[in-house]
Amino acid sequence: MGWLPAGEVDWDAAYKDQLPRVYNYLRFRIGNESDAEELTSRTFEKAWRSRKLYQRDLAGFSTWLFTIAQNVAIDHLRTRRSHLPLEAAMDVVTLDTPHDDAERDSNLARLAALMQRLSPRDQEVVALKYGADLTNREIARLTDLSESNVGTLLHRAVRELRSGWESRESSHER
Amino acid sequence: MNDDFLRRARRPPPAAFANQLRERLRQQELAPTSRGRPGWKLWTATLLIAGTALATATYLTLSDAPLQSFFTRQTTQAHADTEANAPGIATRRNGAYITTDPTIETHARPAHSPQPQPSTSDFSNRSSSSAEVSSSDAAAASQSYSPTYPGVWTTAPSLRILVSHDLAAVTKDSSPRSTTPATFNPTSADAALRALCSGEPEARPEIVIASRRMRPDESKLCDKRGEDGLLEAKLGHFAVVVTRAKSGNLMQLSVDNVFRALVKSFPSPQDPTRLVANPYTHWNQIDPTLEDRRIEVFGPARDSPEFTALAVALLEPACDRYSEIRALHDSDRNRYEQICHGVRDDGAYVPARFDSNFIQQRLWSDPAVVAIIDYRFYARNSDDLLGSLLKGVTPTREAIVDGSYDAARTLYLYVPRAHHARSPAVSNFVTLYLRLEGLARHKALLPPDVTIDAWGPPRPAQLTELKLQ
Repeated sequence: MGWLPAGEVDWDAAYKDQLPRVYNYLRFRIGNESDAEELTSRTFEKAWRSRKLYQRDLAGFSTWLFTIAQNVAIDHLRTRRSHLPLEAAMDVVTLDTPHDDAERDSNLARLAALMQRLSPRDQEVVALKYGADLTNREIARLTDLSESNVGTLLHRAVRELRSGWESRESSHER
Repeated sequence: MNDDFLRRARRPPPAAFANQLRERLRQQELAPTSRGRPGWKLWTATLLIAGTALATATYLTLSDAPLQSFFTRQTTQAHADTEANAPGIATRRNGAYITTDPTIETHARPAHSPQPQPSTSDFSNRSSSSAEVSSSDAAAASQSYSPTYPGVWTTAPSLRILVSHDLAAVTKDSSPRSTTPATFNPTSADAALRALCSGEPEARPEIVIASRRMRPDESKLCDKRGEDGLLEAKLGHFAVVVTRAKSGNLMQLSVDNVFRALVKSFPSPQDPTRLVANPYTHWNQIDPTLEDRRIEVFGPARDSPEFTALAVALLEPACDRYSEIRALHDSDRNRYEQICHGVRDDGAYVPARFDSNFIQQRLWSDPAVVAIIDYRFYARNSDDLLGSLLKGVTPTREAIVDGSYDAARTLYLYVPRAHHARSPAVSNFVTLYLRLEGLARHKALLPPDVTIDAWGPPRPAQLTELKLQ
């Protein structure tokens, strides 16, 4: 591909390693495949434009890239919220309307519905953990939380998500 | 906490999307980038650097003498502090070793004695921690160099104790008080155990402390020489457990799997003489049968006593399976430790403090995380932990004592029966040493009977005749 290295970062390897992580972070965070693709592109293009400013190691590169992805996601959510009609907002909260059945069949849609019940901070931490596959330490660095705080938030958020997940499964079985 | 449903929701980006994005980035790369004039940031940085350089040069020119005296004062003070705080620690000045311990004879190295080389097992010239350097200097204070065994300094007035390298920090300051002075000279376990039964009798060590048991071929050297045999005692054990939260999955790991997950570099499978940087990010890259989860291992901090347990019980045995690295035991201990104790710093290995919050805050919140903890902590918290992830024998008191548990190492003391019988200094030292008062200070060392609940002094170790099958 002919990536020109800047500093010590192997951009080719970085792209291969980070693309699935950024993509899944945004899928978890936004809850929509096509938006996740669009925002992933935006993240990488931004990073690529300013790659020459980045001269450090690959581990730090991940933090830098996810800071960009976080900002891209925040901008998107802000725009989306400002354009959502009130009814749509209610749908996002309850997600019990019958016309969403098909969408709810997919894991992502189910998860997106459950994620909306969490606070924005918990959503962010879950997306970074399970979407981006980051460690608690990396998440702590990105969110300005302590590592143990990240652990506690995750513990609580996953318990809540799981209980929602299981109750939905049992209602489907009935 | 079962989080599998969350991990299942991940998926790789669609190939078409990934290719398109790649192509777009490539186009961006080919597009000419604007190369404007150097910005104001560059000018500011240049001015700052030039200004600082000018100020420093001016200061140095005007105040050269006071600056030098400041450094001289610092150095002198450092020497004085060393001597005041550590009686018995020898320092070297003008070629002579000077010690504040009245029991150690002070003399300069004779001009004719061979100069030890800085490589192989010459511990006195090793560039290691200041503590080790001080200890070897102290040894040198009362010794002369023995050409018989590289790295061995024979002692005239004090006992000669060889200790395997990995136990140098453990045995430091473990010498009982009110006994004949003893110097603990680190060397490889192989060299130490070999030295007990070979070479000239006067050059042999009186005592050897090693992190492995003597092998039959080594003890046969003593038999061949018609020696009276050796006495052996178990001084304690190092043991670690690889585990995770109770709600996690029971992944089955080998010692080598763990080693490959933890270290910064290891021998290339294609060319074992070459080290490769650790490329693994997920467990299933090490072994396809393992979980497709990111490697994240909580372990002891590098300078903690628990790390010694990890290094002695797990990292070194795994490292020693590579003959190329094992060869460094004798030739280059620093390099050996650099490779075998060099845990990753890219986030895969996370130094942790093992206290009451560790399990609730770290492990319960992330059941996919693996933790390597010392056996004492494991035994006290086993109700909240999943058990051992290592294949084979489970970590129990009995398995550690009988040596069948893989991630444990027993510390042994050896003394020739003849020395013990004929020299009151040796027998007195051994009797007091086996009370284990010095060794018990090491937090991660388990007593010989692996009792973890007794808070009092450990029961003395038993000296028995060495009998090998």
